[in-house]
Amino acid sequence: MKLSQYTNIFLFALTASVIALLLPKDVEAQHYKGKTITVVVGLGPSSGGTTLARLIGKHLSQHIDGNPKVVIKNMPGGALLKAHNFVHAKAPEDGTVVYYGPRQPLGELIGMPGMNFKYKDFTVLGGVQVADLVNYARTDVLDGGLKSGADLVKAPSVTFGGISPRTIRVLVSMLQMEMLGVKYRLVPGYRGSGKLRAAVLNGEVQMGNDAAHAYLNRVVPTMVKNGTVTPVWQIPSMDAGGNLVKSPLLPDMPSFSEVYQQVKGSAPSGIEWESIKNLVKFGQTVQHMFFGPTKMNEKAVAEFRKGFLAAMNSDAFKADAKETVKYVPSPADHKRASQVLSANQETPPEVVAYLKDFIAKNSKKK
Amino acid sequence: MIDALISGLLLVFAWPSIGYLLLGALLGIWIGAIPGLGGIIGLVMLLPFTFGMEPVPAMALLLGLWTVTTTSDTIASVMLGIPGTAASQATILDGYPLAQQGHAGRAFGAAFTVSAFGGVFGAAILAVSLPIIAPLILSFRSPELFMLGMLGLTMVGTLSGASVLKGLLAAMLGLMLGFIGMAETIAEPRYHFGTVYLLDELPLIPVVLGLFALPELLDLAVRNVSISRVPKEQVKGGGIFHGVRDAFKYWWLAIRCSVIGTYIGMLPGLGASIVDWVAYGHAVQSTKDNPRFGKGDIRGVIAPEAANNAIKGGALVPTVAFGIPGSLGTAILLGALVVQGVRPGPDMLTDNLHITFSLVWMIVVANIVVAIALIFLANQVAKIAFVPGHLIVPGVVTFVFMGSWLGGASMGDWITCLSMGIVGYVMKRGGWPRPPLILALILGNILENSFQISMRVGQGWGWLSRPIVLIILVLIVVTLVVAISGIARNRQLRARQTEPKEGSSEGEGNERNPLISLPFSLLLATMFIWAAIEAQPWHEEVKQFPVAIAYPGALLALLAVYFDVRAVVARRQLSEGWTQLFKQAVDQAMLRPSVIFFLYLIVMLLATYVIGQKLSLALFTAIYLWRWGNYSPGISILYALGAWAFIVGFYDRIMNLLFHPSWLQSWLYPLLPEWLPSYLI
Repeated sequence: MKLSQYTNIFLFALTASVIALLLPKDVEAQHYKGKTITVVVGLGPSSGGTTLARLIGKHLSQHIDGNPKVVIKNMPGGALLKAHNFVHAKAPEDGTVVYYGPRQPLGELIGMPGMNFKYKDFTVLGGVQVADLVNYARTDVLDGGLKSGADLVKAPSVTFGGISPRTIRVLVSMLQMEMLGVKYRLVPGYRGSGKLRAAVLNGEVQMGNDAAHAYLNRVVPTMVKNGTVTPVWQIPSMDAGGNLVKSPLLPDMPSFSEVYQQVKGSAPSGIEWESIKNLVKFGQTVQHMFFGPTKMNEKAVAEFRKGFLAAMNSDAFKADAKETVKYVPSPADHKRASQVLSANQETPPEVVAYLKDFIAKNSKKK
Repeated sequence: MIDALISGLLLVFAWPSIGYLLLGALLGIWIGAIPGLGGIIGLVMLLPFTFGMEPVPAMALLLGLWTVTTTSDTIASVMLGIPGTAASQATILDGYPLAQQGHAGRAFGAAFTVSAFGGVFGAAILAVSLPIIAPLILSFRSPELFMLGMLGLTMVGTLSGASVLKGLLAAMLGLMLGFIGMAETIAEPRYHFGTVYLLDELPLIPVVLGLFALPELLDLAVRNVSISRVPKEQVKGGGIFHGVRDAFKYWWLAIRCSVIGTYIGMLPGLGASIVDWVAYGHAVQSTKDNPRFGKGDIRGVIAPEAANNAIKGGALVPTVAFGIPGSLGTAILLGALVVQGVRPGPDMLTDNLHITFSLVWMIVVANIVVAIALIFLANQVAKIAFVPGHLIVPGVVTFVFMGSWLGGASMGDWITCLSMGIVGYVMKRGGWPRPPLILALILGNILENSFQISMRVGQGWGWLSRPIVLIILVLIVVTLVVAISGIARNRQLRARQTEPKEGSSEGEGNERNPLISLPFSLLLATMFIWAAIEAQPWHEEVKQFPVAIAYPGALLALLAVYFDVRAVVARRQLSEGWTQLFKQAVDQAMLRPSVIFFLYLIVMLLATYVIGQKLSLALFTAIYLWRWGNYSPGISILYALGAWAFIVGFYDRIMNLLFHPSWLQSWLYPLLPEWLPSYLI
């Protein structure tokens, strides 16, 4: 081969390389093509949140450009902080590791050990409004049987079981009972809804709460149908306009406001009510969120957000959700999710002070 | 009812259900055999595949897997001295010594037979007791759970080996480790040193793997022996069918332990981690004729293996009848049932009784099929006992560390595993029994939580007068009396015998090396005192248990220091000087090579931060075989490549684990060409 032939080959290769570099790459068009997205879930593998994560993950894969593989990784522990800290500090910026699940807005508000981040540091990708809460109580708390939430005030005493007075669902229920004048006593220490359901069933405690879908699937067949418990009221979520909205799963079950009106003859108000509304606003609204690390790749962010909404709004997802979790969770776009995520920082100082005092008071042995 | 029973059977044998059941069982064998995996991880892996399936095939797949992991977990427990799952911790106490004597086949034969028996027994109880068991299950509240936990703790006496004092202190250490993390009732963190990792309780699997596996691997590495200390040609008897005959010979023990397993399974809150210890303790306490527990007594294998399979049927009773899952495994199964549109509750005993019975049949079929399959495979598996130790060590180290990683995907789990490995080594060489530590670690949280709830609900001590509480209290007293008389009997026996051999490793906690034990006693005394001081500013409820354990713990640890000092002084008088005494103690404990072995592991752990787990484990494998095992570089590299391929293929690609992001990854990823998959490093 002559030297000129070598030169020609070299020039051809060089030109081809330059053209290849200048051409827009397919992978750039689709950031997630060929990649795997690991969704870190801060809950245990048997939780309803994990089931939902698996379901959403299945549809995310079909709706994010490039059809990445989506895998779910449970990382429970440290009251969600383990998973949060992992995504905050260790997740790569290319958007292949993101968080899904509940948050700790109360922890951020009143201070919590081990919280090495601020929620505003995360890149919000979207949120999910999961089922609202239902409070239920044993019918034998009252002679003659408990018929409704309004009857609860007549009960001589009610033992209310929960995880801890530092969790929003327990706090909200306690504040509601304080407002109604229910003579209750908190028994904390039940690790999760399953343990609490068992305690209500065997009569160790008389009242508890559960997410609406879990209530329908697990409490109704085992305790409501045979008359062991009755629902007392539901805890609604808050829409973007600041209105409390009842669960579409339980349109006939009264909300707390309705029960209060029935018992007291007026609409709820006062510092307890303000505290409840704030807790609902940042804790019971868009309860689950997807978020990524602080400096997440912009293309990944855009593709994830778009794919997430498309997946959640698809007919296939809705049909799957109805079959799997028995309800259709509604999506919140990243703007609404960000709004909820920062809502705890808008809590009035007097409410923060009241909540801190209330938690401290109820953390002492009764 | 008979109709439902037959319908249930037909449902299981209908295609594709039977195919899914066998597929699940096949996966269960594999998942149970690998240390650290276990039924829960298997269920989590399979659960997404069941979305969209029909209820019976879906449950067949899941139950097929879940049922048999406690049969195949015996393989690691017997062959490696490592619990295959949390349910086979006690099996190692006699299973591994049997393997060391070349009798692994016998242990397998007995274990697989009683596993099948226990599994079928539990399923039968599930079938017959569903309609009548409600009052018993519903009468178990926190006070009963607390007393049951206390009954479990009384097993410490029987698991303590030569020294009850050391057994008690090991249990107290376990309880204190159990108090790490958020207190349940008030969510106040304890002993967390400002780390997020310790905001939770210590995870059981890394602790167990570290405490038991690393010291055994160390033994293989340092002594350069195979698992069986007896050459293959010298082994007499001890085959599979010898074990099968043992299972039939001790049928009454198998039945008793199956009953224990079934009922512990039915009572929500205790779970599989505890059942094998309770069954083992029962076997030790109830055996009068020629007990050799801890030294290779086949009854020490039969008892836990019967119980840990029987628990599965028992655990399904409250799950399907009341929607109360007694453990994480049953919680996942309950979730799967709901996803399939099958709601737990009274309907499962009426309208859906045929589905309930199909679950029973699934357990029966899976248990029998897998036991038969494993009995025929066991002879091949038992041959591992004669493989040179150096070839086993790096492979098992990989399993141990990856097993530790599975639960939390945190470097904290590796640090816990390695730290507990060092503790396990010191305890083993210093004559400290390790089982009480694990038993107490499992029970610590259950005891504290159920006590606090009992006090809150009852607003005082009134719960002590509940009938079942009183019955368990009587059982506790009886157990203590039996345990104390057993300890006294053993002391008399030992007094009649000559002094045990120096460094004799027969039986848990029976080694005597006061110079190794003394620093540990001192450390414990210091730790208990510090723990008591640290707890002072906490809420009353949060510090109640830690303080109640720390003060007596400190006193007992000081007593142990006194005994150790006395033993050291006594040995000094028998030796030619302090130098010789130290040299003897160091040689007996194999201290120097042990330190080097742990340094290998520490370097591997530190290297993980730089090059990631896939490469650091492979590098450890290569360097260990080449430098320590004196194998050729070619073999070392080939083995290391195999380990790396397994981590990438199985743990990354199949299990989709989240690995620790290393410095190398963050630096190298952007430079890698598109066609090269980033999961390779």
